[in-house]
Amino acid sequence: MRSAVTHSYSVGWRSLDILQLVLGMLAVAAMTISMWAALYYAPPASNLAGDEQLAQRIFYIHMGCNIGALAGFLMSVIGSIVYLVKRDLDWDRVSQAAIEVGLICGMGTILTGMFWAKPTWNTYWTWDPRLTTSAITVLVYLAYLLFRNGIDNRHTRARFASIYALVAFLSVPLTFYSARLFRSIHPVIYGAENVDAQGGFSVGPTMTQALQINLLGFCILFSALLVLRWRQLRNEDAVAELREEIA
Amino acid sequence: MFYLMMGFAVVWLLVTLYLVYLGVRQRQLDAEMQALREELETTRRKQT
Repeated sequence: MRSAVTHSYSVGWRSLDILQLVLGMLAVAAMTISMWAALYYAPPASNLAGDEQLAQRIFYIHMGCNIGALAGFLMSVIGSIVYLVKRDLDWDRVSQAAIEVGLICGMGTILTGMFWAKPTWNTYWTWDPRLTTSAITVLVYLAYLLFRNGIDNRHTRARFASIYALVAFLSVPLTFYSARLFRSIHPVIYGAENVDAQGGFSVGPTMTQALQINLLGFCILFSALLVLRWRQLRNEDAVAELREEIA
Repeated sequence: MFYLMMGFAVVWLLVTLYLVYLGVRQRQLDAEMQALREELETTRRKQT
């Protein structure tokens, strides 16, 4: 006889396999095009020179990572709200997977920013409001994963994690507005101009296209990783339930 | 050139490490699931 638990997880497995395969292939293609756009298609920034001009190309991958992190943290809010309303553990798994992938992208944002900052600001790190709030956001979400591991009961863990994820999201708009509201040397490329910015550059139409390609590429990569991890978390719960069934 | 290369490499390194982690975790889960299924089957056979 087949376990009811494992059976429920295998429902719709075939269509998810196809979705995952399609997303994986799309992600590989999209990231290849994104790299091409960032390294060859985008013209060099005309107001910069030398290492600073070369490092400016990091901007595309930096923004790509940034959109991946934003998508992850935003998705975790959606997952948390739906879990709290429906009490369906699948949405808690969406939340966890989104935060994990968002964290990878968030760390990517910080690290790419550091390699851009060295030739531009002559330092890898400075306690600028934007950099500080970004680091806080990554740490807050890292704490989410540690916090989850401390609770054994699945529903209790999901409830507390959902509330935590909702509160943690407050750090995202704070990071976004930090370079606009506080005195920061971090450039603001779109929207309000930052007069204290160092290493800023104007973005022409071809650069905008390269940026859009990268944003789309990273969104696809994010989706592929999210589905992959979400399915794995379902497997983890299936194993845990099977273990409980035997005990 | 060094900073540009490192900026790109670090992202790919993070993604690769995450994929390796997912792969290792999946292999562990598959093995654990198989062992549990066999254990469950043995227990049921003994009961009947």
